[in-house]
Amino acid sequence: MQHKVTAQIGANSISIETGKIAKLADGSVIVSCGETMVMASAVSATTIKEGQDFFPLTVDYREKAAAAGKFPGGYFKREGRPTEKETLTSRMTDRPLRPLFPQGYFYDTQVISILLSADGENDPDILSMNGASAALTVSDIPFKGPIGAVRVGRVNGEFVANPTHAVRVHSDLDLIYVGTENDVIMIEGAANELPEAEFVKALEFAHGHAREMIRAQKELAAQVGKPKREMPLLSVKPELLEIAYQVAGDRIEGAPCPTFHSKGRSGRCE
Amino acid sequence: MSDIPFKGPFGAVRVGRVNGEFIANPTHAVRVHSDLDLIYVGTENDVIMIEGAANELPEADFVKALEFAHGHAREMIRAQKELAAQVGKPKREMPLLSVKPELLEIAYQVAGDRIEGALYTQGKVARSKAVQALREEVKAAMLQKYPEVDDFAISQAFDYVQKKAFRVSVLEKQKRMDGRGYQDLRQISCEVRVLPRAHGSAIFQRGETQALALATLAPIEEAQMIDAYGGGEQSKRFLLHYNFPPFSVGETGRFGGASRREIGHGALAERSLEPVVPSENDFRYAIRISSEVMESNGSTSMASVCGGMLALMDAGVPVKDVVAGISVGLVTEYDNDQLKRYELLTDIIGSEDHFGDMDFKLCGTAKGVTGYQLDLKLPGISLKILSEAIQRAKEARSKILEIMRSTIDKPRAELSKYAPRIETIKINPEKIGALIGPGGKTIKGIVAETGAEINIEDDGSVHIYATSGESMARAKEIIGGMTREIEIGQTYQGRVVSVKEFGAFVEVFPGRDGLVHISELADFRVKRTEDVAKVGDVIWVKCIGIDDKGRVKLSRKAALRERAEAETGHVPEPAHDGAGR
Repeated sequence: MQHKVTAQIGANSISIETGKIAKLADGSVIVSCGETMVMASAVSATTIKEGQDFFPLTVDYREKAAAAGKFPGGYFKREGRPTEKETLTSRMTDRPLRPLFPQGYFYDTQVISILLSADGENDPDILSMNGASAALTVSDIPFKGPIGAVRVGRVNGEFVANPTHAVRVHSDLDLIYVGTENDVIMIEGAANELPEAEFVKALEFAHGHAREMIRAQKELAAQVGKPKREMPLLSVKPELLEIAYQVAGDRIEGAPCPTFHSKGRSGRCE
Repeated sequence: MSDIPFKGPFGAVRVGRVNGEFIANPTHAVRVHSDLDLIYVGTENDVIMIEGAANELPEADFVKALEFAHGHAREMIRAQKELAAQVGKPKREMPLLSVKPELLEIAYQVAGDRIEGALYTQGKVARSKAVQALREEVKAAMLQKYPEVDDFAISQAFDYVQKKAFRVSVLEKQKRMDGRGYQDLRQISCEVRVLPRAHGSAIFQRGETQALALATLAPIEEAQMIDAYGGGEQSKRFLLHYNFPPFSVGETGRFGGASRREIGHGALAERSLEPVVPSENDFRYAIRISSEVMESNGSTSMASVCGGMLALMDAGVPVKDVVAGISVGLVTEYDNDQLKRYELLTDIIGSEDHFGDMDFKLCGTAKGVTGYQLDLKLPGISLKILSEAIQRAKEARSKILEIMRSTIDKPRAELSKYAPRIETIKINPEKIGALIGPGGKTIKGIVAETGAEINIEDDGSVHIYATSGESMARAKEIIGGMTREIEIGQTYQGRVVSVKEFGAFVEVFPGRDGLVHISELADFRVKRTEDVAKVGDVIWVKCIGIDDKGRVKLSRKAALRERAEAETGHVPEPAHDGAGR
């Protein structure tokens, strides 16, 4: 069964479809804006690897040269290592998703979004973020989303939602905002010495559009109607945690612990 | 020769065909003229692997090629046996890991009649649970009888259950896992132009296998260069890249650079389609297909062939014919190393590939065979079985071709509006230097201004690639202007570049100027040149002569007279003010 919803964001509408491609993934969607199209898929394993003690989530965004009618550059006419744009978009897609999985959900989970068509104006990064959220939302994978992502620019003092590249040239703000229904979950970007008060206004402006993206995704999930899977979560009894704290709580800060301050992905102290 | 246990030797040979004659192990020089490239590996009596491509070779000739190859493979085997006999090294005796047949049978008795139901449970989580539950039952039953069994035995036994259940189902119950008959294809659907910006795109769906193919056209200079250390082609202008992301099978996994499997599948699909790709002279493009497997349950390489074919036609590539491909599988039953019975299965799904004995992929047009690949799990099958499989593949192929043709029956007449346009103009080879300019400055300037790509050949052919008509027209205009000769009797608009007492020099085309003598500036007597023409003025001039040194004589007077006569609404050809750089 194919389903489709649309959300009006700024000058362009964004559509989200499911049920046409990648149907063996736990969830998959195609997100389109103008003639830019990104497919996003979500898959989560049904067993936990032995000894797994963190949440193995990988999020990747990749661009196909053919989407823009090009051959991949370089000697090998094949997409190779991810470009900087792909890596940054992967990270931007990853960061807001990560906090929205249940505590103790340690099942291998993979979100992949792929740029399939690029019109050169509508940036696929926003579509990747909304697509990843939508793929998880329509799937049976436990996920406390959806989230809505929007880019906000400002031209002649007016905020613009999801500005095209042509408009962004004149913008003194590039805000990527990702929100849940009521909260902000990630922001990123740059501005041209934008006063703080204006910056806060931009965030408020963005949130309204993020909610519209969330509304659309909820509508799609309702059409699909796939119940979430019930999976056992790994957890440790609070009493046990408290015992540990009582023993070591007041001395842990003094202990030399090299990984504690490092920027390792888990930041765990071993 | 070594003491490693090995049931060989096998013999490998390449077979080509030139003017209808088969040739064993042709050199690269000979292969250029060959319409067949068959790599054949055989044991003493059987075939064990084939791979290669042919130029729409009829099936009957293909079978003859296999027979021809087998004779040569045997000769390679004979030589190896002779060498081994000379070396005379005995094989080492090594303990082999195995599980007692009783244990395997216990497992089968427990789960044999329920395993299919478990494997076909709807929904991934439920299926995983059902299979896991059955596995636990098998484990418990085995442990009860033989408390010493280890994980290895249990996993081997569980695999045995699945394999045996599959065989019993096919051979005894004459029923395939998904309920199809031996020769039935899964449901096929095709769609083209699914992506707005790709030059060509298609979805080919066969059951739970789905390939999304994107075709891209590029200037031929973007062809893939090859470091062909072993000889052969130095570049490839038709590429097919195959990608198999983990979500296509509903699993998590490695995602990134191409694996060996992905490269192999891409190469098979590429050589299957290559015979129908138009020659460079007919279609001056490099062509790349990327096949993105979106769903996979068996034979995604053949789906990539069909999807790629549709994408080529969607892109308007004038292909010579339509290619399709299909897989054929095999289930055998042996009794004391004697083949008792076998069944061929058309269009195998993933589990039929996994538990079956063969994965044979054959592509072709209505006329004959293009790409093919045979993988076996058995130590060889007879050529007779392979010939039957070839026949099965042919029958299935004609059905698939029909379905594909009902979606798009010939290449689109127009390329995508986003595909580069190629036009070739001829210029005087002496002008090549001027067009390129010092250090390529001039040509780079044109490329930057127009957005078109330009390639010049020594014979004066200039190939212009542009993605829009506007950019194409502008590039042609500039190049045409730069390389055009001034002709006597023609009127031009030119820019005054210098003024002398005796007249004005006017640049008609970039780098090409002539003199308007003061007496030719106007139809009245001009006292000073500056009165009529100042540097930078754009004026109309007519060429009234070229002297033997190539110096151009121009006349403004004659041009004005002519224009006055033509003042009836006739629009002169577009002005060229020489600012093209």
